[in-house]
Amino acid sequence: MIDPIWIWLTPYLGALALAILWISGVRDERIYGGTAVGSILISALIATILTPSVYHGHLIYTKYSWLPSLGINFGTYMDGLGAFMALVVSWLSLLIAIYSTEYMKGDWGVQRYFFFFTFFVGSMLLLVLADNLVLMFIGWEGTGLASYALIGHWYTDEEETWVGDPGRKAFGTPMYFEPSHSGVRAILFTRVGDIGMIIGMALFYMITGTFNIPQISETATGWMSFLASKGVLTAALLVFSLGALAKSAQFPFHEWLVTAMTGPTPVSALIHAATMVKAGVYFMLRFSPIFYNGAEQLGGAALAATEHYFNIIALLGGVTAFMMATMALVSRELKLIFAFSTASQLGYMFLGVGAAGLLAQKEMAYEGIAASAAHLMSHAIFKAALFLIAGWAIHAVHSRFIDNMGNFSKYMKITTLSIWLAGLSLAGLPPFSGFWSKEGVIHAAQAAHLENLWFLAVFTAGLTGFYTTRAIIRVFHMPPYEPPHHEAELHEAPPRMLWPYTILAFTALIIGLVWPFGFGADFSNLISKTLGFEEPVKLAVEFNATTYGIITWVLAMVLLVPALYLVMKVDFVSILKTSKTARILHDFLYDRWYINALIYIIIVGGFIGAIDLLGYVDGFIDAFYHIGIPIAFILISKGFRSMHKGRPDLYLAYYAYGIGLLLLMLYLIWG
Amino acid sequence: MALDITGNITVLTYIILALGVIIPLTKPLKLEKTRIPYSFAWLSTLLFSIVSYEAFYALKTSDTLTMFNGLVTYNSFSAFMLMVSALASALVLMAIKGRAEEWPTAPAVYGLLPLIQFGLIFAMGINDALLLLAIWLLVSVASYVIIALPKDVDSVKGAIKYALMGSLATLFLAVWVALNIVATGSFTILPYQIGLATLLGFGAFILSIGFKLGIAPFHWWLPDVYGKSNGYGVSIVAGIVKIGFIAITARVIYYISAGGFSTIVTVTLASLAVVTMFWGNLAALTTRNLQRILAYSSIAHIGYILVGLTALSYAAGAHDLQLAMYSFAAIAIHVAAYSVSKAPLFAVMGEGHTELSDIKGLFHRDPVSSVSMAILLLSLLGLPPLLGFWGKLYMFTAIASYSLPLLVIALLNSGISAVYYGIAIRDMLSTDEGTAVYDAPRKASLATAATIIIVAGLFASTLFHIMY
Repeated sequence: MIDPIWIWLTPYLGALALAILWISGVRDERIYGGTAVGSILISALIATILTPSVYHGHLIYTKYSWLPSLGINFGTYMDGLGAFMALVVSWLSLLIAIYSTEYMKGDWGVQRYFFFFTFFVGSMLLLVLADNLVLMFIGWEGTGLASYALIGHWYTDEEETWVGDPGRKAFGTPMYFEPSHSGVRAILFTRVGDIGMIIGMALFYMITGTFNIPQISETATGWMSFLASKGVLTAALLVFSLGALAKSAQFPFHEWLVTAMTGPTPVSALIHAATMVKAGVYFMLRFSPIFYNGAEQLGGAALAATEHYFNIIALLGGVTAFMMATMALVSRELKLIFAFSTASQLGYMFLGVGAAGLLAQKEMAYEGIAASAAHLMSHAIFKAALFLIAGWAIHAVHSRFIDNMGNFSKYMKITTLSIWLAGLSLAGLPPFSGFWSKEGVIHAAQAAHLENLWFLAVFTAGLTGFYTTRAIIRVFHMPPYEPPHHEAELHEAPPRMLWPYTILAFTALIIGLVWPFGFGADFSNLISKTLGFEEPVKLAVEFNATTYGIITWVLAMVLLVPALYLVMKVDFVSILKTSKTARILHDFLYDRWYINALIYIIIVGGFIGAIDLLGYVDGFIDAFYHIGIPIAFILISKGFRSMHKGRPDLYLAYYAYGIGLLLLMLYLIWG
Repeated sequence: MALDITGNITVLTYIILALGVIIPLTKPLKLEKTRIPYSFAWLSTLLFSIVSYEAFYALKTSDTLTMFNGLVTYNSFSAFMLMVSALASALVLMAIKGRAEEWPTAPAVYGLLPLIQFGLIFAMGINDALLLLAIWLLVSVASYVIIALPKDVDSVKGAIKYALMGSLATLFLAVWVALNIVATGSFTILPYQIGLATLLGFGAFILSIGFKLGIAPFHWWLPDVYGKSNGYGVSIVAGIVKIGFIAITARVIYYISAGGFSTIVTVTLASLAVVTMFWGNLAALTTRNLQRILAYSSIAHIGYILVGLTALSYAAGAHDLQLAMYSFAAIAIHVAAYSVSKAPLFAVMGEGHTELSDIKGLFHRDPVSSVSMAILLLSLLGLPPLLGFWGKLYMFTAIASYSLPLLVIALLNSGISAVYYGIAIRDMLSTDEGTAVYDAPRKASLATAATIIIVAGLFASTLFHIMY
């Protein structure tokens, strides 16, 4: 049996090798790409070899002592969820790494790119396989660091690397973002959540005396009843989950993900679609069964508090899903559409977990959680494909705006097929993989009697179909609104870019096809081996009237797009020019519900105000230390020295006073 | 062969006294400008250091060494203080070479040095109040004269103030001698009984010794004498004579407190320590004359030593012999650091009233002197691993068991002193051109002292355990 530690250690060693190569002066990008692909391939193979054992019910758990005093080990914990995540992360990373070797060819920072890419993969795998919170947090922050570095990869901030329309402002707040600015945004937004996560970790350690996740699970009833008795269980769980909400770009932390699109497109595909943003979902999948089981066993106040928590999670997920989908409707940047869509789909996953936590029946609750996991997988696959295609599209016309793209279907048949496969999977139409998983989430919301959120989710599914089809029709089947500024390279992508996304797109289809014929059951079986799953899960979609209704609604929205654009030839641009109402609505969505402006004005502006205020306070403190104290000392010093006038008569008088003082003092003490 | 150490020391003491009489005789023989008086002063210092060495030798086998018919009793503290005086004498003599011969009063200073050393041999272990008064007069008068010897206006003015205030202080010492008899029933300094006489006696002692050491608010003469008079004279008074008075103070304070009078003594000493430290350090802050900075810093250092004396008094009152020995040793280490630094520093101030602007750029003109001076100043500041650090460390550790606020105040004062020592060092490193230059003897004195400060600092714990 291979030690599972190698799954995450191999990419780290790859990154270390790249760092050493850089220091040694090696600059050949093929060596960098090769090392990255090779180390990730080894990691993916090890994960694949080990998974069958987990599938058959053997937990793979190894540990090496690290900080014995805190009980922290280098523990690799490979249960059903861990194995599943390791597979998704490692294989997707491999395909995207291969794509990157072509995409980043000749880039001035390609060596740095592959270093952080490999470092990211190691951190992500560490995150999903760590057996304790501290180790998990190290992986967590490692992914954040790599994300920051790769978002700001083109830190010289040329205009073609920006996100947003240059010059556009909302309430005076610029709505265009340079890579270096976006990198800082990403790290700051997620940092807010991570502080909550650290507080949660410290809280668990104080109560349970351990960082070990299985032990936290075992002692769940203990610490949950303690927190519930203090009336802070809901708050504690929410604070602990803040890191997950921020990492997975859930409202109100979603803003960083949108502007993270300044990074190279493979980075958007890997980190900001397929893997890192799923860390928050992984966190929920990992911990929600623990919270759920604890609450079920305790009942009473603990159950009520936990249900309150899951309600909030479901609400945030549902709202995010809807909000981000509306923004995707009007976006003019291809990557941005997919970024909105990513946050929206992550919202579905949170909704699924939140709804599952509210279900009284154990197996149904686990099913809801597993449905979120399934959506995580299907989304990772089709969204990675979409981003990789977007990367080629942007490269082809040298523009990120879909206005400059058009009629791609005439020049690239395989790519057109791929984007339709991936896109329809995103839209959630059968028989694509996205249908089964999204249906599972919506079903959980219905079962949990979250009628409003269920309706919102169904409505959003239609919006998803609409914006996905809009993007595909605009780019592949309509002439461009504006011709590209540079001469376009309208032909199929080179093989190393073409094959990864074609494979992914077909995977989305094939998984969907085989889902009802055993794959769904196999997947359920693997997830059933997860920590905290007390009953085996059976994911199965029941086709009833509601299901058919939803499919019809989504299909109608998908078909509406070609009807509007190709048949009725509605001119949205002139509508926007003439109708004020349309413009107000468009600007509201285009400027992202003005949330970014509000965050900048209220939070950033508030902090700047606080800085000014503290500046005054600091000024006083500064003046006290640098002016007040020195002046006081100078005055005292000069006062003392002025008594030394060199006159013996004065000295004798002073001496006499001294005698008096001494006698007085002795008298006082004596008395 | 068994050595008769008591006899040896007695003989050496009389030879030193004889040298004090012989050296002035070079004047009528017209030999005052030759090397002879200077060589005799060195001889006296050599014999003086042999005394300290012999005392150490004797104390290897017994705890105390009693001499002069029981008038003087040495312990390791006394022997160590004697050794420090010998070292300070040597450093002063190194620096003064070729200078005192040019004074109109030559060779008086060379003649007075043996007299002071003669007095110190008694002062270090004195048991008798009357003898103390005699030694006090001998050494004090010698000090006044030494300050006046260069005969420049500032020195003479300083000497007059010194003598005027000194006579008042001597008066109080005489009062103490009388009250000592009342408090202990004899001339011998013994543990005091509780009573009004003891209280007044202690007050009188503080008034006299406060003048001598420069304890605020009895220190008024000190900035004028230390800060303006000729530096060679000051180096003898501040670097050598003072050691004897510190030894006397420690001994008397110990006996007064041991008799059950420690609360008043300890509180008084602690209060005086606070006032003295603040006075010295704060007054030094705005001074831009290096010699006056050294003068004020001498006051501050007496404040630190008072902290050690407070610990000693507390230990004596609590009959904690361990802590008392610890405090004695701590004071001795600090006095060593103080004397070895101050003697050459005052000496190099020489005739000129050295302003800080004069030593600007000294590092570029004279790296040896400036680095040595910097080391001595940093030792006074208490920077590890220099000897001054260990003195403060041991004294402040000793006081921790009595009063934490006093410890904090002492540390705070060390912090304040960093400002003026730092300014002096910064000026030496600056690129501006000052005027101060130091000739070979003074350079040698500084470099030797700096070496001692570093080496002794590295072996401070060994030195400490000679006594503790």
